[in-house]
Amino acid sequence: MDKLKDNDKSIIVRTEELSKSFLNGQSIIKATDRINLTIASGEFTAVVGPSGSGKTTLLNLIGGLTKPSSGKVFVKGTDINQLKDKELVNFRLHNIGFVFQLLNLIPVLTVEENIGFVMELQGADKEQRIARTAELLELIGMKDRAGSRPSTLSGGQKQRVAVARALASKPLFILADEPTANLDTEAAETLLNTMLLLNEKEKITFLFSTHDPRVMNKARRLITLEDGRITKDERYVR
Amino acid sequence: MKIIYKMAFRNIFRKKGRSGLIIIIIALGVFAASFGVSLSNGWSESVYREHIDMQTSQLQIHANKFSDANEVAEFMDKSVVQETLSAVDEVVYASYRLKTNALLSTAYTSVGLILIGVDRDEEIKVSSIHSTIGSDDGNFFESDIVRPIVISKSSAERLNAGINSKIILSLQDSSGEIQRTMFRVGGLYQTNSTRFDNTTAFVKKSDLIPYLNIPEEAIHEVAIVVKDFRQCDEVKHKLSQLLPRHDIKKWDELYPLLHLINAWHGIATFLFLLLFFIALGVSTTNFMMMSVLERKGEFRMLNKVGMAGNRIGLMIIMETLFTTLIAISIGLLLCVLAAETFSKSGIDIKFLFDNNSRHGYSTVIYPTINNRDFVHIFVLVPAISIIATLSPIKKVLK
Repeated sequence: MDKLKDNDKSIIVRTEELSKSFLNGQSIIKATDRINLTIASGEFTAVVGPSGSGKTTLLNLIGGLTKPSSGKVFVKGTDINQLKDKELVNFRLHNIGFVFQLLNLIPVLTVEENIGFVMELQGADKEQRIARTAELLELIGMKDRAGSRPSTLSGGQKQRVAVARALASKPLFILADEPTANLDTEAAETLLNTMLLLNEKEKITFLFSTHDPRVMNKARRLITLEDGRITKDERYVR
Repeated sequence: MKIIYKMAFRNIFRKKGRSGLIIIIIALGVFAASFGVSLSNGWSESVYREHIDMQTSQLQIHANKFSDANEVAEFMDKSVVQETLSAVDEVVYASYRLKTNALLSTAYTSVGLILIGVDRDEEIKVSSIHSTIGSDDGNFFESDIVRPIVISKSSAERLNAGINSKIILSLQDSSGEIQRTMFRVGGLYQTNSTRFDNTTAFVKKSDLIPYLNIPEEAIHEVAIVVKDFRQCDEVKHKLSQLLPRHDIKKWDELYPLLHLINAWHGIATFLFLLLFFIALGVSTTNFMMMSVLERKGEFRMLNKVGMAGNRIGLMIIMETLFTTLIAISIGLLLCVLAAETFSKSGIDIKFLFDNNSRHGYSTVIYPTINNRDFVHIFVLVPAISIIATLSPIKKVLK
C-alpha cells in the first residue's frame, strides 16, 4: 500500500487506526478494524469485499456520517471527528459529495434544481450556479431533461443526476455507496463511464464501495476489505 | 433560503389526498370557529342593542338621591345639565325625561309601572321604542289624541285596552299628594323584553309635568348617546367631574345583567376558541408526524449532503405554515361569505324557544365579523400549528 504523508499536497483523506464496533445483543461486532488508508487527489478507487466486510461503514466513517469507536479520519488535514455536529454538517456541505444507493434526489425538485441544490445550500451566486448546472447537464447528457422531476427518470438517469449534484460544488472527493446496485447492465455502464469522464475532466476524486464486478473493472485502485480489515490494495492502469 | 421555501411549498402537493384532507379539516374548523364567534358577536350585539337602544341608553344622569324609588322630588335643573352636555363633544344626543311610578287603571284591572315623560323629538334619537310600534298599533306621539299614552301590548292586554282606550293614571306628586288624570292610548309598543314591557309606559313630558308639582324645567333623567360606544367610560368620567352633584351611570351599571352577559360572552368565546385550538394542535401534530416519519430517509439524505438540522426543521415548519395559511384563507373566506349571506336576513333561532317568551333579545341573529377576531385566528392558528409541528421535527431529527 502506498504510504503518503499528510504534507503531500495530493492527499485528500487519511485514516489512522480507524475502528468501528457495534453492539449486537451481547456480542461486539467489529465493522472496521484499525484501518490505515490514504486517498490521493484524482483517484478512482473502489472499496470491495463481501457483504458485511465493512465497506459502507468505512465510507460512512470517511464521510463523517458516523463516529469511529477509535482512530482518526483526516480530510485535507482536518480531523473531522473533532468537529461539532453543526460544523461537521457544514464541512460535508463544502467538501464532500455523496451518491447513495437509493433516495438520492429530492422528489419535489427538478433535475436542474437537484443539481444546483448543494450549491444553493452553500449560498453560491445564482449566475454561477446556473452556469455550473448547465455545464453538468451537458456533461451527463441530460440537458433535455432539465425540467423533469425525478419520478419521470429511469434508475440510471437518477444516479447520473445524483453524481452531477455531488460534483456541482467541486468537492474534495465524492463518496458513492454501491451506486450501481439497483441498475441494469446498460445503466450501470453509462453511469460508470459518466463518473470516469468526470473524474478525468474535473479531476474529482471518487471513492465508492461496491461488489459489482463491472465497477471493479473500471476502478484504478481496488481496496479489498475482509472482516473490517484491508487485505489487498491494488492499483491498475486502465 | 428560497430553495427551502420552494421545497416546503411543493411538499404540500406530494400527497394531494392527505394534504387536501387536512386543509379541508382546518378550513372547516376555522370556518366553524370564526362563524361561531361572529354569531356570538351578533347575538351579543343584539342583546346590547335591545337593552341599550330600548331601555337604558348608553349613559344616564339622575339627581344623586333619585335612586330606584324614583323620587319625584329629586329632580335636576334641565338648563344646567343641558349646558354641561353641550360642552362635551362626545355627547351626540340627549333626551331629558320625567320619571315616576304610576298606577294605570281601567274598568278591568290596574297595573303599576314606571311612567316616563318624554319629548318625542329628543326621545326618538336615543331610543328605538318608536320603531317597535306597528302600523296598526298607533304611533309614538304623532297623532292628535289629547294626552296620549304609549303602553306595551302586554300591558294593553292586561288592561283590556286598545288604541284610543281611556286609562286612568294615579301618581304621587312631589309633595306626596295623589294625583289622578285620564289619558288615552295612543300607541302600543312591543320590545323583546317582557320585563320591560310590563313595567314601562310613556307619556308626553308636557302632559305629565302639571301633575308632579315640580318646576317646568325640572327633569328626573337624562338618557345620552355618545359618538363612539367605546367612549362611554371616558364620557362618564368627564361628566362625573362636570356634574359632581349628579349620579352618572353607564349602561352596564343600569342593567348589571348586561355586564354579566358581556363577561360571560368573553369567557364563552375564549373557551370555544381554546377547544378549537387544542383540536387543531392535535390534528396538526398527527398529520405532520405521518408526513415527516414517512420521509425520514429523505431527511437523512438531506442531512448527509449538508443540509443542517435547523434548515430541515425550517422546511417542515414552512410546510405546516403554508398548509395552514391556505386552510385559514379558505375558512375565513367561507365565514365572510356566510356572514354576508345572513347579514341582511339574519338567522332566526326562534324554534329553540317557547313562542311566548321574550327574554330581552331578538331571536334573529345577524352574524357580526369583528376584525380583531379574524386577526386572532390568522395569528394564532399558524402559531399553534407551528408549535404542534415541533414534536414531529424533534422525532425526525433524532
